[in-house]
Amino acid sequence: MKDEKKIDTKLIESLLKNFAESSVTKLSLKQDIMEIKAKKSSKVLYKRNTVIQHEKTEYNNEMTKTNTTFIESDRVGRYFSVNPPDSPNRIKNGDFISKGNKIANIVSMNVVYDVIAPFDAVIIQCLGEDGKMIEYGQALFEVEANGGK
Amino acid sequence: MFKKILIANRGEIAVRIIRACKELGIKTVAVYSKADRDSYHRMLADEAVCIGEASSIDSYLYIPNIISACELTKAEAIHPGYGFLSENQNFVEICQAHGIKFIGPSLTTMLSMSDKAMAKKLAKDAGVPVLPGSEGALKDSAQARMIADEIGYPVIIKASFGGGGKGMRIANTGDEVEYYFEIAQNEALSSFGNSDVYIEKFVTNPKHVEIQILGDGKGNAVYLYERDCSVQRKHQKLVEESPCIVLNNKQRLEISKAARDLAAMIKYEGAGTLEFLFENNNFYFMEMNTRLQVEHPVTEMVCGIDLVKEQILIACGEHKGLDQNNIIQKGHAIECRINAEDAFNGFLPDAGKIEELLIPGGFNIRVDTFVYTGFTIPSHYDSMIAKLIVYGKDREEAILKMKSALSEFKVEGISTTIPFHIKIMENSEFLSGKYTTRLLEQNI
Repeated sequence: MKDEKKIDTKLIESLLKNFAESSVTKLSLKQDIMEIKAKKSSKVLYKRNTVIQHEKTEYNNEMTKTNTTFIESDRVGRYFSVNPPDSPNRIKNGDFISKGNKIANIVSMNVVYDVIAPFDAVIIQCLGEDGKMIEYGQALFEVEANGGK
Repeated sequence: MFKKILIANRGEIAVRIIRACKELGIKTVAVYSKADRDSYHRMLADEAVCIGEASSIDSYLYIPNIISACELTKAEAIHPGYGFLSENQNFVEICQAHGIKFIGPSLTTMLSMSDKAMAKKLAKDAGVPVLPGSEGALKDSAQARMIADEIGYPVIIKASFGGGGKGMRIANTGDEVEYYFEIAQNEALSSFGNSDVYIEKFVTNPKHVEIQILGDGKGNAVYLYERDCSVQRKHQKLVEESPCIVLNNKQRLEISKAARDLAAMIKYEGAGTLEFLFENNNFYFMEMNTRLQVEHPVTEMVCGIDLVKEQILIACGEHKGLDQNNIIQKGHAIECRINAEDAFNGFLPDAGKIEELLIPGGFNIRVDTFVYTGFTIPSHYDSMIAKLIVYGKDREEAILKMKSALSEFKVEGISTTIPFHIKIMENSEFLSGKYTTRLLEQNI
């Protein structure tokens, strides 16, 4: 008769407990004839900008200081953020901006002009202040860009 | 009085205007291009706004940024200086639309004086002597030939809306008139968008004499006498002086009064200049410059009047009244334009860093400049870096003073026209005072 070992349920319980507390999503354990397969599946709560932050992390792996640059104003006018101060969509430090995104407004001679992101970048610092005068060439955002302008 | 003025210009004239504003207690806003970050006018003004890239078309000629800078800094008026937007009618119109006072003549005056044929007609109406020629634009080459036969050869065909020598042809015979007529028309059309041309007598060896006027915009005007600007190279003035010593008092007064009458007739506002050719004791009106001239300091020196302050006072309506009796021409003033050019190498423009600058000084010696030791001259703009102006009790003293000041003037690091000016001050034709616009091609 084949020698069968008794399953150590206590060990399994302990493993599952540790697994539940861990961030591991899959576990395989094989010992002699004993094999345990476990898969953890749970709902992930995404915060806003999660994807952006994820991309930023990947992006940063390749970043060097030389990629730091400024997005400058192309006209003289008054600076306004795209969204009001209490808006969750307002661009803030650490946000990722894609080429072609509207990132600010400049009001000049009563006409509102869009400031468009000229390349993909991550905001290091927002430099414009709502309602304040902006010169031509004044830095609006300090950014980290992939490959520069 | 204005509280704040924006100066839509650069270089020495921006500095000149800022100084006048400071003396009047007016705050100033400088505008500058990226190439002018280190320019003196930027540092001297109370506020400064960057308006564009180095190229003039993207900065000093870019109206939206200038108007926007004016509105945002709450400047009430714009002084355009000379060049750039000073005679741009669109700019005057836009200033008006935005409630900004343009320091200069009205749009109507500017329009009528920018059309050379119209200006000539108005001048004639005011009793200003004009060159014999066609009245307004010519219909065809046959009409051009008929008029040329009447006034005598040589004649010059000119574009009605032209300038800078484009659309101009000199004809010595009737056949040449017919030949050049169409060429001039085409050139006028391609250069100025209007093919209108007119014809007038070509004066071969004239003096360039101009009359400075001031008008209050209500029909009152005064004259500030003449300047002799005959030392020219390719229509660019190099030396100017006041008075013009070949004129007698009768001639001086007659032409000055005629210029004043035209300014009064067109209700001219601010400072303006009527340019004349003077040959064989005859004056011929060329054009009116509806702005401040580069060479305005020579008039200031002999008349003791600050023209920029007068412009500002007139523009804000606080002038106490123009009175001809208060304007007396006294002594003699000469101005040399110091350009960053190699005069002995085809006047090739030079740019670069000024390693050392020593500016002359002394009694009645004035230097209008914007450069300083360590300043790098941008290559994007005109090459004038300074104006050296001297005043003497007579021409002889003024020339001696100019020679002394020129020898003191040291600009290291770039080529300048200083050595060339020293040669002019020693030239016998110049010293005689009888020189004409052909002085440089014939003598130096």
